[in-house]
Amino acid sequence: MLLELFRLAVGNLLRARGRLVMTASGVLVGTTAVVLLLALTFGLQEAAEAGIGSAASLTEIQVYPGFSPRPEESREPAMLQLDDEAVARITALDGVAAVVPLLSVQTQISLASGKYRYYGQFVGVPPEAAPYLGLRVARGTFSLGPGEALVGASVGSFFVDPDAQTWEPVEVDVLAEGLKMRVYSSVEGREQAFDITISGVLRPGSGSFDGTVFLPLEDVIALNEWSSGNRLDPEERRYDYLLVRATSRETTRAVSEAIRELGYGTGGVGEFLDQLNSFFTTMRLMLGGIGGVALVVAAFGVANTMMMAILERTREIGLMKALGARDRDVLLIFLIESMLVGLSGGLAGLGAAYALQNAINGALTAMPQGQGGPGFLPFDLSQVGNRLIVIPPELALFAVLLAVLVGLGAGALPAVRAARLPPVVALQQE
Amino acid sequence: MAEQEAARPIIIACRNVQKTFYLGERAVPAIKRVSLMIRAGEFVGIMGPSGSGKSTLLHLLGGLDRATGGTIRVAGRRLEDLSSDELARFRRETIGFVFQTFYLVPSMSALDNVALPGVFAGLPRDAREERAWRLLRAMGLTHRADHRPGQLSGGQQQRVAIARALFNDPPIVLADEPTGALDSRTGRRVMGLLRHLCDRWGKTILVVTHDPVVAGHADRILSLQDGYLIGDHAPETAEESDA
Ligand SMILES: Nc1ncnc2c1ncn2[C@@H]1O[C@H](COP(=O)(O)OP(=O)(O)OP(=O)(O)O)[C@@H](O)[C@H]1O
Ligand SMILES: [Mg+2]
Repeated sequence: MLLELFRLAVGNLLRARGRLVMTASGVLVGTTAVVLLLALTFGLQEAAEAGIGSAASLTEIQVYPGFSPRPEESREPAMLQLDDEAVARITALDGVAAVVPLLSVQTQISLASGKYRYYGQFVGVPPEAAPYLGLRVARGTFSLGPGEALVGASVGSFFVDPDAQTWEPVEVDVLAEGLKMRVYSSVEGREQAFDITISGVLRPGSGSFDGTVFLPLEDVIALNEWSSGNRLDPEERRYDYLLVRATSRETTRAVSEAIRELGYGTGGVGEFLDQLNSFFTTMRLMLGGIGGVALVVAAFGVANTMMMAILERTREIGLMKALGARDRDVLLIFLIESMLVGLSGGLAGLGAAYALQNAINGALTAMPQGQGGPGFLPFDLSQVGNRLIVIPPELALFAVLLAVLVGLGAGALPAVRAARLPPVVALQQE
Repeated sequence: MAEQEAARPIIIACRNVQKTFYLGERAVPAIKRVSLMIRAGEFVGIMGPSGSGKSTLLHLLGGLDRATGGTIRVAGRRLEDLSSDELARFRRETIGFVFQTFYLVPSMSALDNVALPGVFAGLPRDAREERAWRLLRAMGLTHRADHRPGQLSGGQQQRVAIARALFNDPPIVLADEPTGALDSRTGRRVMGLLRHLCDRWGKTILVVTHDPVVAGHADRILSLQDGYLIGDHAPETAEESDA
């Protein structure tokens, strides 16, 4: 029965092809607007995520000391320190690829090249865990043997002459021979120079590590003991923070939560990403609303056409009723017709959106590229394959469903009116 | 002949039927206390001046409109008791309508027009087309099955409409001036066809007409004037209209 009514409705639509095209075009424009505007937010989001940093930073969690989650065991909330036990506990969590403990040098330390010095952060990491920092070398090799160091990209540019009136940074080739490391000993009350080999300079864009000098963990422990004159019990060792690498971007959040449940503090881009996501959700709602206005206009078009169709086909409605159609049959016929108008407009609109997607993304690729892609964008599009407009399959499905709903919604009132027409009144209409 | 007719069951029975239209405040009585009986297989002509209520009466009997008073029984059903859905089913199963201006759907082929009632009966397409084809053959129109109504003559169009009225094999055919839009020769052919449906197919036929020649095909004439039934050759109802 439904199938028969469906066939009849299709036939009705096809015989008024011109009107179908006109009305569906309204839905087409609305659907295209909604899809493109939303696709723009998806594209921007992907570009923004790519811009925050390498995919590496999305699986990165920083862990800070925290408080014991079980205060009933002791009256004072116990401070949870970042010791080797913490490293072991976090390493044992599901979804953790590696835990990199970072320990900084506790005394005044600098790199020395002639009279020029570099004062910055000197951090020790276990050489075997260093690859999990997510860093790459731009020059040299990624190696952290005893007496070796890896330096951030900007380290070489910030050497200064400590005796000069003003500290003018000078450029130093850190990979050159003869570089020393000068460390202050509080026991002896003076600095002492150590030999050091810089094995590699890291790529820029390593975030907070651009000014860091990485040393092997054991070297940092030795320096700390030497400068303070105390041997430290390994159990007393406290790391500055731990860098936890999750196995995948999807597990990052769960790992973060598990770590917080243990009582430690966490941070990282993964967390920032949640904020970014909520920003883009707001943006989507706003732009979707703007596109929605076009769809509402289209809905009025569909409603108007259906009203006209009913006026025009009043006699036909009367005839169908004389031939035994029930009110709900007439209702269904008109609902199916308006739904099909919505569907065809939606599908055509989606097609138009895909065509425009290709055209826009293609034009961006063809544009003269500056340092960071087309100049008017605040980020580098080339990182996301020059795709500013991204239509995910869910968006496509959503848009078509929306168009169908628009058709149904707009056709509802006219269809009810048609169904309620008394047969004689409809038949007598001239 | 009289005994034979008396043996047939009564298929339409009206008692004190009234229909008053309301145009705002103004009441327009179109049918006034009409009582009548029609037996199965009768061929009844309905005559009367314009505005006398002929079409209105036909609509009431066919369940296209509801009376404002009295009772109408058709084929065992009291129409005033039927819901709108039941009335639709009644029209589908019991009544075939034929109109003066045919009311064919212009964009559909003759075959599809004939098959249209089958859509609302929920008949699958094959069955619909098969039956429509048989009816077109009975009307001598198989060679016009693919034609649109606009490509057919008036007489052919009316025969398509009659085939459509017969689609669900209803016992009653109600025709409102079926020859009104046709020349007299074609009109006679259409009346001959209706007569044939009455005699050979056993249909009960009610035909509204202005034309006395056309009315000559009928067994019995009901005369309406100003909404009153003023003449009825059937002896059963004559008493009531006198009363
Ligand atoms: N929908 C309606 N609303 C108001 N009045 C109506 C309506 N339909 C019919 N009438 C009135 O009812 C009366 C009978 O009309 P009806 O159409 O039954 O006449 P008729 O005998 O068929 O006339 P004709 O020979 O011209 O077709 C007329 O006065 C007409 O104006
Ligand atoms: Mg009339």
